[in-house]
Amino acid sequence: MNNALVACRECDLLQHEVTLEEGDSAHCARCGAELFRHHARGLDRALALYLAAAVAFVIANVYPVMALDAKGIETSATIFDAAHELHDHGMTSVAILVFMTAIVAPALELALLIFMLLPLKLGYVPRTLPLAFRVAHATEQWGMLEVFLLGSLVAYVKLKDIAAVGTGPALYAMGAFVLLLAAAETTFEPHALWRRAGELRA
Amino acid sequence: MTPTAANYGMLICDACDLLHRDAPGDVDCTRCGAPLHTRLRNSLSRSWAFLIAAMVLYIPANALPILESGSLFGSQSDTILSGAVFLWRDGSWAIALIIFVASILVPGVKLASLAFLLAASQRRWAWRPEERARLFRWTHFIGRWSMVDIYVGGLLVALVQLKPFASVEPGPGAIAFGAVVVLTMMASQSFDPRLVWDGTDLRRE
Repeated sequence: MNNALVACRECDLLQHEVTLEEGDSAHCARCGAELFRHHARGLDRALALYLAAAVAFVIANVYPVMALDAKGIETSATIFDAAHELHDHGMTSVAILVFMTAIVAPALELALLIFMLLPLKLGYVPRTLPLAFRVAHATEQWGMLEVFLLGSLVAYVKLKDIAAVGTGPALYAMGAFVLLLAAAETTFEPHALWRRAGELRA
Repeated sequence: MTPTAANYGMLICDACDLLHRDAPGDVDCTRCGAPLHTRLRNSLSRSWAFLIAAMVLYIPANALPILESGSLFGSQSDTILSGAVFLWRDGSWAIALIIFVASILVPGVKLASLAFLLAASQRRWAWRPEERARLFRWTHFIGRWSMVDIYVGGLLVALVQLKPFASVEPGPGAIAFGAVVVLTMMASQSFDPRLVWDGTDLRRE
């Protein structure tokens, strides 16, 4: 135990910061919200996972999610097609919602995290670190590719009965992306990022 | 007096968690630059505004067709509920259940729990704060899963364009439904969970 104080962001209770063992997390004594975690080399691991997730994200966006073959007519759809076709069928607002939540928000979150973590790994603090951090913090909850993955599976099962439907590479890439991003988000500890930036500036 | 940051004149940054001692009001976080405040500004009125808009739109979201499918044998419009019922009768129970839970149950439960949490904080109830804090955390987490039906719709519209044999068009319900998901997410984002505890803190003083 040391004398530093922390406040719970969910209930405002002041408490003493505790020293944690590897892999442990500290929770608020009153409301149970997670206060912080400890991973030695957590930033390195998070960076590796975010980079791997970025590769999976590119594959998920380039290739079709699934293809349909009915009576000799073949169609296939990428994640972008799902948004674009909604626009073509007069649902521009819904198309924008799909585009923002399934493509823009996850891409922005990945790009900003790599933009912050890569320089810190190489030994310097990016000038716009505070701005990048705030935007990443605000974007986080709007990326919903894991929900899109569930939607793809539902669509697959719905179509299976009426036509020959095949899975595309993007479906598997999306699965990999969801697992990698979840692993990266549990490893990434913002407190460690600021500590590292402070050490480099000193 | 409960030892909270507010009671000791300290501010915690909402974005990076840095604790500021003796910070005057209306300043930015010295570390990440996010605006500092004891509680989110106008949290309850902003949250109510988003929530009431979501409640109003929940009606057309469920009453209007979300998908219109056409084939050689005629066309059929489906609301979220009739689509789930169709899948259930068809034997796709797992999918029917996913759609029912994600598209009807989750938004309904989310609207009701947010209304309860807002009313409780407004009246500064001291009743079961742990449970209310847990309810909020859970409500905040599940809301996003309602988007599933929107994504299914987008994929079906993109894939099923085999005119004249079969085609799928999005229905007006999709606009209302998408708006409900976004508005409930904004309502829960506007709610400051610390307000759950403020009622109990005051009572113990």
